[in-house]
Amino acid sequence: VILAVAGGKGGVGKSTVAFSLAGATDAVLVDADLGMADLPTGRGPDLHDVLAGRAAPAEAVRGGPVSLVPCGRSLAGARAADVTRLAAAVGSLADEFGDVVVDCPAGLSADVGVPLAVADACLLVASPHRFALSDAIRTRELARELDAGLVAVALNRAGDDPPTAAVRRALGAPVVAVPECEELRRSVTEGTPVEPSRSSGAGDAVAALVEAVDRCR
Amino acid sequence: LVVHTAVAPRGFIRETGTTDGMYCECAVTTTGGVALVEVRLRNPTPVARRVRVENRLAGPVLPPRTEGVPEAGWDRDGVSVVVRPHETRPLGYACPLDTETDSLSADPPATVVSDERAPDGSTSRTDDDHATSVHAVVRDLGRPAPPRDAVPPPDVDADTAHSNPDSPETDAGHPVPDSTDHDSDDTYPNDIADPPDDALPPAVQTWLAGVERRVEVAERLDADTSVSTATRAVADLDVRPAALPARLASDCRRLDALADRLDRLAARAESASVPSESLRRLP
Repeated sequence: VILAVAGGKGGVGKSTVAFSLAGATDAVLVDADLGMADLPTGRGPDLHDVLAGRAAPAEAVRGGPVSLVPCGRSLAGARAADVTRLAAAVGSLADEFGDVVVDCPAGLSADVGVPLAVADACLLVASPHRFALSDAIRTRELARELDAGLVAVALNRAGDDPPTAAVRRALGAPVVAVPECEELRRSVTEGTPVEPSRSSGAGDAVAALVEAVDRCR
Repeated sequence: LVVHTAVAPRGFIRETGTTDGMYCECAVTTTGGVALVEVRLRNPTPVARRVRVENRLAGPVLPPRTEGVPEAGWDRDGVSVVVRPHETRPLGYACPLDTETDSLSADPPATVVSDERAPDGSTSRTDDDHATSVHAVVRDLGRPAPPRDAVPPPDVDADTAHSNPDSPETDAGHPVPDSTDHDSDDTYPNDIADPPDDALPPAVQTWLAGVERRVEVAERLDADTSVSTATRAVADLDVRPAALPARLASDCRRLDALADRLDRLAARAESASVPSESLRRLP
């Protein structure tokens, strides 16, 4: 399964949710934010190199708690990257590794559109604010246009009384409230994805997201 | 390519009615070795019709593009479009002229080769496989690449400075003259640059990187290069594509002059003997 994690608004926690979800489903996580990557990187070829034709997709996969294809951070790399190659790159990762989670950037540019076009399904991440929700609705429209079914909405930093019913009505998909917690916030920087479990709030949310993804297999 | 909705009769005009009633009007102008073909389709029938127009000139069709991606329906030989009832549909493309005769090889330049009733609800998007939808996405949403001006020249950090200077003028036998008084650098710490011995000054590095980029692009372009490859190659340039040959020639002259000067300087630097002992005694 190729799953695109999108949301329109920046800073709502797309990468954080994608990181734990990829860890829990044993998927390869692709950081597709070509201009402003934020998942950890390291030495070796990255997604910019893959999209510039300088490396094979499998070469750019880093092992670790979550298998990750990091994205380069240089402007020159972003300029050399040809976004039309992203479709083939994600496809070949799916052939080789099985499940792929693509962490999409904010906005509605082609680096969101191409993952949505190749994805089997998408997960929207939103925060419970009016502006974040309106961006999620626009992304939902784009996903619908590109035939990426919406498996669930992760309502991140949901607070005590999350407006799940209103979001469900607006976006027409199951809503998983993800509580604000230290465990999730530190997961990316410390390389410890949140495990699906019924014992913690974040673990519970990850378990619910995994379940939603499993339904589309 | 600008497509005029009302085709001004420049060059010659042909109007041919097909058996089914689709009217096709062509006009062609030639400029700079390229034929610009304007086609106007007129559907007089009350149903939507799917039409295939093919180029009859010798060269390939250079279709209109957005974000470097051809518009929907275009391919190397022509275009397939759906013309709505009573609609007049303008189309336009470019086609390189026959290089030997430099003249049009066919008249009219384009014709309707098939014309059939379009199934209900069909649009101009003919097929919808992965590649098509990815290209449509890029065309509609735009490439996320940062603008060329935002990309700093590849000279700033030390490790690129080390990996870059493989241009023959700088390290193949003509090392840049080194400071000869490394022994005394504790007295004038600011005189001696921190970067490693063979690092070039940033300005030189930038200039050489620019030359390298132009030479690389020139090497990538040849007669067989596809339009998309050439478009991407040329996009990395800091000069207009048309100005590239002249710029390369001037690069060549400058490099020659520089190589001469480097040779002479290197020889002088080697033969000059600095009285390092007496210099050390100076304050």
